[in-house]
Amino acid sequence: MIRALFLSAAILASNLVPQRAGAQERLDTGRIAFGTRVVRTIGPSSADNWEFVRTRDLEVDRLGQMWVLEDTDHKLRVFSADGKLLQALGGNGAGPGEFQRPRWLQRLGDTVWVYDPSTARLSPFSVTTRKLLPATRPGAPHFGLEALSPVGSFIAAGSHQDDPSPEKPLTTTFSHQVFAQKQQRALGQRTVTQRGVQARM
Amino acid sequence: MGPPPTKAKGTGGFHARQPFDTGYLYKVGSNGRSLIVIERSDARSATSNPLAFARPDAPLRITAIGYKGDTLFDRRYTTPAAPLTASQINAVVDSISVSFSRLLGLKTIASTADIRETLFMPKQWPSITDFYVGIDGTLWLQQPAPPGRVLKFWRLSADGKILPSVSLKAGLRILRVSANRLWVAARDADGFETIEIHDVIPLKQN
Repeated sequence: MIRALFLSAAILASNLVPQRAGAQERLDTGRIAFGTRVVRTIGPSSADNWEFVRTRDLEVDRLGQMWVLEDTDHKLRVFSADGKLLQALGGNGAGPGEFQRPRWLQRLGDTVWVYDPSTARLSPFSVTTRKLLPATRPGAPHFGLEALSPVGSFIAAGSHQDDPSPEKPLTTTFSHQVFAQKQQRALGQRTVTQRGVQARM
Repeated sequence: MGPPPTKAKGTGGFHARQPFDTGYLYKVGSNGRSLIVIERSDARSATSNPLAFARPDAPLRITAIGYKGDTLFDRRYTTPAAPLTASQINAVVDSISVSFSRLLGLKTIASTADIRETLFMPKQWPSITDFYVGIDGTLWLQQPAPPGRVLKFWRLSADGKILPSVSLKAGLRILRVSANRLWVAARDADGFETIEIHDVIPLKQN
């Protein structure tokens, strides 16, 4: 018992130790010891008149429910943890809870958010009732939104490439910005610049 | 990021990601708390000694940036250098050609010469070709491999510890991962997808 406690404490302590400055750990290509096994499949039954053709995104909530965003019919389908279809939400349109080109799903607490850049809309759905919630984050950018942060701000990221020339190699600037929700002003920004190689176009 | 994307000529500017790009990769961290940035460098820059007999490793730096612009995580790793062969390049070009044709609804296969002309082709594979952030913060780093091969992943825990590597059968598109499970889309011959839930299990010992 004491030995187990001591071992647990040692493991915990080792997790908290930051990597030594300049240290590099090696990821090796030795024998792979783990694989995967299919435990469940999810899709339409023979009686259904819908298909998964291009699954855009999938999110798993705390109840184990799976929220699946399909590109072709703009539907958000909710499946139970054992793979049973519980609800089909959304559909093509510009009204509340409808989508035109939804891009991603994100779960924050008991809410699953859908970002649709076409309508610049963030649609929140309740994990427990599986219904559309009142919009609490009005307005979203038409492009570049990567995620919502838990403190009510956006994370946007993107890159910019300067025009290359024989005298000036291609330069790519990667930037990450976080915007406050109401003011739409940048709270933080990090930028890195990389010189790359120009491929012929 | 990195070199320009590949482009099929005469298609109105259809683009795809450069398959051998060594530029930055980024994804949103779990729960939107951070942005994970992976900096990949060429293996040749990993050593300053050009006469070194051992094949140099490729460095990999993983940084998590918080929403205040602060650094939450900064760790460095190396991966074994993997030379990029002509046959591997051909396999990738053929794969891009088929996917261009499918997406554009072309009856003929898109010209591999056009695609090859726009490809960025380093001498080594990038250290990883993609990565996934798990719902529990686990990182799955995809090892370089030509299309149609089994996918292999290095894995890191949320705090950067190296976890056992995992292999996954070819042809699956990853939608979500965690330390012990992954959700993938499997496409059938008619173009319809099924979502599969996989558990991570130890491979049988031979």
